[in-house]
Amino acid sequence: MQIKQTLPQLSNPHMKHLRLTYAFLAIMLISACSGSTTESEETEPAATDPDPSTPTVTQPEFDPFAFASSALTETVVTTSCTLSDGSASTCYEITIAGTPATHEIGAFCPRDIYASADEVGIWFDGNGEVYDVDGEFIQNLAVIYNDSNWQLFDPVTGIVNITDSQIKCEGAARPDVSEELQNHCVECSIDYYNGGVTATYIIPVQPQLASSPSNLGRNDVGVSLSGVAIAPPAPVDAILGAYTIAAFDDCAGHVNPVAGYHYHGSAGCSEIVSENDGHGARMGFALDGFGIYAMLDSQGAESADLDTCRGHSDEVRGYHYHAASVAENMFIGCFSGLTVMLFD
Amino acid sequence: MKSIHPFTLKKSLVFIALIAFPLLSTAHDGHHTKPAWDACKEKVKHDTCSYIMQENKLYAGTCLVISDDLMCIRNQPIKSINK
Repeated sequence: MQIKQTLPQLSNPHMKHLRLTYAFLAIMLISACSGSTTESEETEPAATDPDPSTPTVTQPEFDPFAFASSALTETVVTTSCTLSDGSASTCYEITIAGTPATHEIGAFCPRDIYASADEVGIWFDGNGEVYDVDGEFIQNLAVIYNDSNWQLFDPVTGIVNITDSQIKCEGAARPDVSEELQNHCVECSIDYYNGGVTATYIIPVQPQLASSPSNLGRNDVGVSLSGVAIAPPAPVDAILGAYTIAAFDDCAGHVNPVAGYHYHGSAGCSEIVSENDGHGARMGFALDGFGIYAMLDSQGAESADLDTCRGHSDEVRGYHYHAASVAENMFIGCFSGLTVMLFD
Repeated sequence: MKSIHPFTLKKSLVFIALIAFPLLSTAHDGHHTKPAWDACKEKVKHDTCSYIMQENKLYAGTCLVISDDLMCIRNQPIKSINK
């Protein structure tokens, strides 16, 4: 079945094959790095794991029309796939634009120590605080991290050290950051990567709870409705260890050489599908096909019955997740559902 | 049913091997959120856990593996506590 969408088609079949191969390998990497599928060997779900035997409401199918206009670059099509329990199924191929359809990218780093909060993005300190990356923050880094080696600006001019070229951006994204790129605020322009890194995800048409949850690996957790990858937690220790700040924009996203623009938190920028019953708005889908919704409902309250993966069921949405706060550097805790192992 | 031309597939695999793997394997070393990691240091997967952030906010949940780190994944609403 082909889903009709008025979206641009890419004509180069080799490029499409390359992306499909990338998607396949990315899926395999999820299992290779995280043991996400081997974790299914577990037979004793934790006490608060989702109970697949519990009779609940009919689980809605994955909705390929929920994405924002221009969030996807190719027509959504179905393909045969094999899920993580070995069963044959049908999946969607979702190709995201890699650049947000609902907001602009940036700003990230301050230009000088006089920059105000509305000129810059955000950063978290790894201890629960989310800061505006303004001039005051840059000046206080040595205090915030209790380390006098922090010096991100020229003390004479007040100019902040920023990775202002592709070479610097990619050098600072490496784990072995050279000394000349330490003490930099890292920002990479999406223009270095053709305005966005497209990626294809294979997601089950009919999400199904697994017999036990599987780990999240080092690869993407899902896709946002704005057409951006939902990434695993940012490696804060490694970034800070190089005396760098990988600033996010106010949408908790930033650009790196591999993934392009991607989110590390749910900051309200892709919650475009509101709910009529006061439930938090949907912001995307996990790779198992279940929806990811805002942390809080319209009254500002958080659900108290989330399972270990940060999911639960209700009569309207079936099983779904709620994203954690930006300060927690994550979205969901694990995959409750079956993910894709292979596809045609 | 889609098929990938063998040459294209080979090129793709080489591309991924040369470009993506080194970057992926090096760009994600390190822990993620220190309190959440510390909360599960002496625990095993599925243990309950909690930690405090922002001085008086209690985060409670379960130790789970994310990106090879055992981390405390909150599934209870954040509570303010009196120290």
